[in-house]
Amino acid sequence: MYLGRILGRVVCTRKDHMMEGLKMLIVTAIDSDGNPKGAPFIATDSIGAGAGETVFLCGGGEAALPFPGNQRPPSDATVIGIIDSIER
Amino acid sequence: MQIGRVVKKIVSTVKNSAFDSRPLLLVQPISMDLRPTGSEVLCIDFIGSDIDELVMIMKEGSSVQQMLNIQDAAADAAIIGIVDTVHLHDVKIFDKSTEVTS
Repeated sequence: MYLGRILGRVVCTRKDHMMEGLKMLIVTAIDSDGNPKGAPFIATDSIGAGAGETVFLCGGGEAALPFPGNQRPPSDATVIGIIDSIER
Repeated sequence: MQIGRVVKKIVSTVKNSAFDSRPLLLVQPISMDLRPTGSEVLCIDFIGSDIDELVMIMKEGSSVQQMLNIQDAAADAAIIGIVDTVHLHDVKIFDKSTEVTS
C-alpha cells in the first residue's frame, strides 16, 4: 500500500461493466512529508474519498478486491482509506 | 521479503474493514548496505513495531490475507518481524542493541 492525495476525478460513460457505479479519482502518490512524487494516475474509490483528501491505496491485483459482492473491476489502484493524521 | 525502517505512523478512521484494529506504519525499504531504496511502503503491523525500528516487511497480498484471516482483504504489505541483527558475508552490519552500523 502507499500514500496519495486526490487531485480530481474522471467520469466515463462507456466502460467495462465491472466499473459501473464506481468513482474514479485522479490521484498523485505522495511521500511521508506530503510531497507529490511521480505522475498522477487514475484510481478507483472504495471508501468515498474526495478532492484534496490524503488517502492510502492498494495497488496490483488486490486493487480489485475491496468492493461489495462479486464486483471485481479491472483496476490496478484503489483508494482503501482516508488518512486523519501522519505521526512522526 | 525486505528490510526497512519505520518512518511514520498513519492514523485513519474511514478505511477498509480489513484494516480495523491493526496499526498502519509507513516503512522505507533499505538495501543490504542499509541505504534507503525505492518508495515508502504502507504496511499492516502484526508485530508491534515502532518508529525508527528496523523491520522485516513482506509484500505479497495472499500472505497478508492469510495473516489477517480475511479472504479478499485489499492488503498487500505487512511488517512480520523486528530485526535484531543482520550478518552479511560474516560481518555484522546491524545490531539493534547497539544500533551500530558499519
